[in-house]
Amino acid sequence: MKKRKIACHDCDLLMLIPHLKHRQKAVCPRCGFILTRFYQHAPVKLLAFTLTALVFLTFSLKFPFLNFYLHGNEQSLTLIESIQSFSSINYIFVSILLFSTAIVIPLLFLLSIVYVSWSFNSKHLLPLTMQTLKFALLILPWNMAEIFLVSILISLIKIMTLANVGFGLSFLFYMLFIMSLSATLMYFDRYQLWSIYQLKMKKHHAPV
Amino acid sequence: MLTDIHTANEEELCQCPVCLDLNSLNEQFCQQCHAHLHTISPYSIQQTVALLFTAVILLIPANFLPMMSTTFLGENTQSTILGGIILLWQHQSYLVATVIFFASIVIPIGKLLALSWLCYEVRYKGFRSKSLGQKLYRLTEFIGKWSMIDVYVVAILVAMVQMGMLMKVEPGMAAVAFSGLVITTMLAALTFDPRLIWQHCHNENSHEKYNDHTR
Repeated sequence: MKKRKIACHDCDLLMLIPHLKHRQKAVCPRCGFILTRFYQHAPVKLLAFTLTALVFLTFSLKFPFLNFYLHGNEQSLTLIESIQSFSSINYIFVSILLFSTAIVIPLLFLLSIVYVSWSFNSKHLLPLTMQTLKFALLILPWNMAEIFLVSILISLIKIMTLANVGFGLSFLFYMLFIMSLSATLMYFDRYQLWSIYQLKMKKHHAPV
Repeated sequence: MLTDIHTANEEELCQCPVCLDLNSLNEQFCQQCHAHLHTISPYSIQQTVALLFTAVILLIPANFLPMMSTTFLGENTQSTILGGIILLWQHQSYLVATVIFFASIVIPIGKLLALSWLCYEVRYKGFRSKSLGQKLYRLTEFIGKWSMIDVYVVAILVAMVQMGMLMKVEPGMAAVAFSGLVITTMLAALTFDPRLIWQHCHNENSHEKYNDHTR
């Protein structure tokens, strides 16, 4: 890959990123900001883990998430229901916030990565590739899926004294989804993706 | 390697925050991805400070209003964030109590203090310990969203425990205030420009130059 001059995101220092080998990362010499990580075949791995995460997320919406027993009453709960119940008692704002940060934003993020990877692998760039990539970068800080997972564990411990609680099938899928999402984020590198984009654009506009 | 360092600003360049492309300083929007470009300006912290004030105001209802009200066999108990933590501690679930204490009290307040300190240093001191400031900023950015744990826990409990007269959990207004608090502190961390920490770092010339750009 061609060398490209960039400035550090955190301290604005200008530098050239040298040629990186597999698993190497480039670090800003002044402030220690990780500029980029290079993995061999990163775009393919990115697409693979993104699709895996999408499959697990879809499955985790379908099945009961948690089972709850108290004095002979049994109640099971799906992921969607857990958020619906909030909106039914006039907590629309919180409900929208939870729903978007735990499900919608990860979902949109993954879908946009699929589109961008698909576009990078096709002969010409598909329309709106740049906008999709921008959108993915914009919503990334608001992804809170892993926090939702920890919260589930905490709330289970909280009510374990009151009732018997069991994990549903969805919980397993959601955990697998979080794992694949973390793998996706490992291969999601701003610098590398924009480099591919620039390379593609140059090829596209090159005089024949 | 560090003998001839230049920042992008000194070379009359400005990096796009989205696609990392370098643009000349007089561009308003990035040539590649059309994102809005931000030149380094000390006035950009005003946004951060405004959001910090909002967060401080939200901190009050978030901590004093009830977070959750539990009805168990007709008996209604309301608990604030701190009350819930004390209750958990008394029930000997020390791990959960510690996690929630850190997530909903230490992290939000620590974040507010850290960001205010960073803004203060940028405005009045020009950073004596730059690497400390940088580390603090990175920590704030990374840890911020983990304070959502308590709101999620309440939401899950509300959804799980709907057993009619037997037992019922309802959220309190603090859940709304607290989520607002988390959002505003996250936005404050996002609007803070870390490049301000490192300006006037290696030569004094850069100081004059940067004044030229802002006026």
